[in-house]
Amino acid sequence: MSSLIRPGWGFTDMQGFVDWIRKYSHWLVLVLLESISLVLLISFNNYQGSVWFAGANRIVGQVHEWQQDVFSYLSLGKVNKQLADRNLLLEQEIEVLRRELNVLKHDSTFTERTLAAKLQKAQTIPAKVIYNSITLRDNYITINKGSADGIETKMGVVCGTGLVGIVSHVTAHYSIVMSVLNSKSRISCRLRGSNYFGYLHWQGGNVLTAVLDDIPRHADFQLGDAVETSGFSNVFPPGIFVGRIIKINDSKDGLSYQLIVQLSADLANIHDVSVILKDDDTDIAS
Amino acid sequence: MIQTLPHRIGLILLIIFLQIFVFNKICLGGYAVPLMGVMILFHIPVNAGRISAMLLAFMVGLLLDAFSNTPGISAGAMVVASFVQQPLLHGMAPKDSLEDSVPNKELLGKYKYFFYMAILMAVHHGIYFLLDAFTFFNPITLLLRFVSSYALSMLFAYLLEMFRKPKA
Repeated sequence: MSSLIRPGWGFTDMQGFVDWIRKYSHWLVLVLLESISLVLLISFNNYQGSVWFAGANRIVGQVHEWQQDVFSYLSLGKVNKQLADRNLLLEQEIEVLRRELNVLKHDSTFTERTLAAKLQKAQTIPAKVIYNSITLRDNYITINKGSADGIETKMGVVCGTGLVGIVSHVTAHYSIVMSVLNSKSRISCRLRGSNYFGYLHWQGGNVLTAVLDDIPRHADFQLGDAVETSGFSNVFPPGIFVGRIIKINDSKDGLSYQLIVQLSADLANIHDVSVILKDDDTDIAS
Repeated sequence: MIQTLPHRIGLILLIIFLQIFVFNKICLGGYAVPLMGVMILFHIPVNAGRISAMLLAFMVGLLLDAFSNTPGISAGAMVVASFVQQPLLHGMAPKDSLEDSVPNKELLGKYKYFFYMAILMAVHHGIYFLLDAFTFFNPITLLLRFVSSYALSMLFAYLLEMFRKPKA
């Protein structure tokens, strides 16, 4: 009967059609399954009701959490050392800041005061990283706090040493964070001490560096300058340290600078993070 | 060689478990990640049929995806690899082999089996990294990740196959 199938995919009768379906059913299944995979892949970031993943995450999260519990016991010694190091660093920083404060004791402007108030108002929720990937082009981090703890999508996530990412999916007890190491991540940043800002994104490859685009040609900066969040998006409060400039490139169109930034947070090795709660005050966002 | 159903399911779960808790944590030089889920496809019997092979691959892929935050990537790669698996096996297996024989070193011979593994893994890794990159935005990185991960996965697959008990 297959001879009834003419070139041009026309069928002479129903039997020909059935035969055709039977003959190529594996191709149809292939196309169907690949389409589902692609839809999952494409919709993961945009479509908040990625139900399957949210539903699965209750189980998945629990499994990852058990595993993380085992690992965190095993690495307690290392964590202790890191805490001690961090302590030392903070003590030094306090010392430096105290000295600088003495020098800079001037009347703060209205903007400075409101910003300081804003930072103080920013409340955080501590969370543990239970799954983290750095090897993909779109990396995500799973943390063990969810909507029951007050977490919503589009909240910023930081760790002790710097920026981590932005919450992208939330279930009752777990959340998925779009890591800074994700091709879709865009974070508004500025150069510390000046108001030139650009957006920070990741180009794949090295997990310790990211790219700051759209810094204007007339901006004044040099290698080693600090990069911090701008606060324009209301996801992160302004002034969170992101990293330092290690290389200056021209942008492709030659109209702006493209800066390579050494990230201060080692995202390959994070365990404890803080989620920044949004306040209802949206004047900065507008 | 006759494998019982519990044995097969156990093997599948073991490989998924290893991928999630061991291999996902390995990342050499920021590029090489062993992806061993495809090993599940190695052992699909000669006459399983393409559609059932694909459905199994899809389900395993979805499980791996859920546990690794890689929506659709493993599933897509596994399905394409399983699509290739049956015709490849039919081309390589001896004509007189039993309908439900499971491909292994004894059935195909050492070199042919290695070749069979290498092709399936290349297809799987190729699709995996293409889906992950989605566009050819950085071909050098893409190639580097593919080649290094492929080499590492083949090494692990070879070691695991070596330790698998040969049964009469």
